Amino acid sequence: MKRILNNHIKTIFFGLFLLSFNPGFGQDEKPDLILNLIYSLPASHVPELVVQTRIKVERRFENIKGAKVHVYMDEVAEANLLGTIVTSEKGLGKVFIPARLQEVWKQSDKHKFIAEVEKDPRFIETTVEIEIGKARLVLDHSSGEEEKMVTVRLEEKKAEEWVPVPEQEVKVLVKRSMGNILFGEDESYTTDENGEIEAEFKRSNLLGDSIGNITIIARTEDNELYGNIYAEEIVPWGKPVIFENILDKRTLWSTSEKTPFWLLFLASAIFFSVWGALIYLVWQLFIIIKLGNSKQDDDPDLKTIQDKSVPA
Amino acid sequence: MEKTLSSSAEKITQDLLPQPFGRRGKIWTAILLAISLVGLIAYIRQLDKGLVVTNMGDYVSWGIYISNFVFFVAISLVGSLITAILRLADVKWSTPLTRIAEIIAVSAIVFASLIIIVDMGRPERFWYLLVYGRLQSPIMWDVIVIGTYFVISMLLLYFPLLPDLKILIKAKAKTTSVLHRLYKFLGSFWKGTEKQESINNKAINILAIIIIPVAFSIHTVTSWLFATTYRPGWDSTNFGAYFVSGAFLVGAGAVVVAMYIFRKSYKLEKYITDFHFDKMGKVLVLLALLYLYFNLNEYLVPAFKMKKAEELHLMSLFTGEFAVMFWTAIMLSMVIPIFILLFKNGRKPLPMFIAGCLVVIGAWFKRYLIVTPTMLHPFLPMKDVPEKFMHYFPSWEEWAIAMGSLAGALLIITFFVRIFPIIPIHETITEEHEKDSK
Repeated sequence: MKRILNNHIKTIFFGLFLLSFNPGFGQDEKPDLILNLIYSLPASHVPELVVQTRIKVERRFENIKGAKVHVYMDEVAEANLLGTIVTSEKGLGKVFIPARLQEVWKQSDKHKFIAEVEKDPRFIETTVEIEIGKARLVLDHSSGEEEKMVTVRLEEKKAEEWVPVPEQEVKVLVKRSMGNILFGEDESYTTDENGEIEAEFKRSNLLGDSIGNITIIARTEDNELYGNIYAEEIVPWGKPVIFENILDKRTLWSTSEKTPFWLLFLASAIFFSVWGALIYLVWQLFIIIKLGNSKQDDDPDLKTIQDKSVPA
Repeated sequence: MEKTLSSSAEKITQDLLPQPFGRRGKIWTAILLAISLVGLIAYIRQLDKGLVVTNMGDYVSWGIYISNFVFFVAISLVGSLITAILRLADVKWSTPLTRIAEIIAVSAIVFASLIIIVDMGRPERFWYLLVYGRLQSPIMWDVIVIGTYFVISMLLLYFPLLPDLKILIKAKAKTTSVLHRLYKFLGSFWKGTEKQESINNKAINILAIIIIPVAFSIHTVTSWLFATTYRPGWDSTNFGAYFVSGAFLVGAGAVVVAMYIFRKSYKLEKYITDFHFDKMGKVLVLLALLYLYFNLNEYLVPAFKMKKAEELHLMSLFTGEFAVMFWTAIMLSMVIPIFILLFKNGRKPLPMFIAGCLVVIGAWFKRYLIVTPTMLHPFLPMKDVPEKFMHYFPSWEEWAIAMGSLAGALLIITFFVRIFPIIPIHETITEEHEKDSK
């Protein structure tokens, strides 16, 4: 009896041991949320904070849609709330510094931004913090006979003054309709002791707009101290492109005022010749009517054909 | 001799004068009026609620109204075939058929115009075509050509009718006072003088010449409404000739059906003889073979290439959703009539009538197959749309309006036959006298 009981107990434990390898047997573990908070200062725009939420599932990143993220400035407090983001299908969301926090923004040259995710059954919630200093990019251009140069200066705000920032990476690009291309030969430039970089424009055949303007963009990319800062300037260094409006031409697919001459002529010729014949025939009908209504006896030409068809 | 001529003229006139409806004629007219009335009610409903009462939608924006339009335009071509081509070729045996052909052409073109206005949805905007029309548009060409063809057909109906109007006026005792007044209004000026005859004959000849290119244009331009697009099934250089050959076939088929019915109903065996059926049978089989040839070109060539965009469309016709209708239409409108008409016994009145009916019915389904399947196979596959968007079956309103338009066309023919002689009396007498004097 004791042996049978022992055997049963061993079997049960063995079964439990085997089941412990079954992932369904243990409690599911929630993945950690990968939360990114990015500060951006687009050219001539207000600063914005972009939130990105992802998780890692079997070596792949998956965007999290519908995650609720609260973004604060300097401290986690209701008064410092910039906004609550609900992430999109791509796991992204954006929030701006509201007007009510303008005075807080002006008070300091450095600010902390905190992103806090609300509890969610899909992941383990987390908080991320970044510290950003106020900075700007100043873009200038000059063109001589032979060369065209662009100077970009990175400055940070220190007690009401703008101070150049050395040893920082800056990219200079030219804006195009489907993306941006490199301005010069280098992918990026490092600011010198004056916080400046210089780049030469060598793309002499680059197409611009209808008067030859192109847009130069200078930016810092994912800078740890200053975030993403942009500056733009329009310069007349491109080749003018005059787009031909095909609807302006006389074609088969343009508007009615732009009918091709050959079609106008052909259609009119056919129409007027056919309708001319029809009008002539209607006129002939009137002649028949007139002939019929004139008195027979007066007109010797009106010789009646023997009426074979009239019954006697 | 003259007495014989006169008595034969009298006999011909007696036989060919329009006759009042008998019991069958009245039942026939009542049925047509009822169908037309239902169609009118459906149209009023459509005017009130809009095109939402139809089952047309985002994908199938052309449905049974357009296939009906193409069918009517096709049938109207017969006027040019019988009246013009055979007249210019001095084919005397076509004389009894000319007026039948012309009235079919006129009634078909009237309802082709009306059904297009029905399909527009907002008829009061028809004038936009004239004010804002683009001459580059095939639709504009179609409007101009249809209008022109209608006028030519009406004139080609009226000019040859003038001598008969005089006969009708003289036969006052055999007609009602209303009809007598109508005949006087239309033709009391006709005295049959040399000059009038000369002008009349010249006018008919000019019309016979003009109507041929206009008739070819009307159906070529209608085909270009489809062929000037990139859609699979429509993007074809073959369409002009394909449509014109189909139009000749269905027009001839309609004439054969009309020949049989009028012959039987009005006891016109002496005028629409077995000889006429035999001749029309040969014309019909030739046209059916020609149309079959164009069908081969139209389907075999793209099937051989099987371009991706065409594949879905072609497979839906050959083996898919429309396969039964497709093969039935081919058999009814071409294959079976060819087999019937190739043999002399098949060119007798009753088999000819059956062949004619098959041609006309098959032709209607053929036009439906030209319009709808292409609309259901757009370039980008239909995705994320309700199931009903992927199919098209006309609503009761569409059926009622389409059948109403067919009934309306038949009503015009019916009333015409009641009012005017369906076989030209004057021409028949003239030919009879020419034969006798030889």
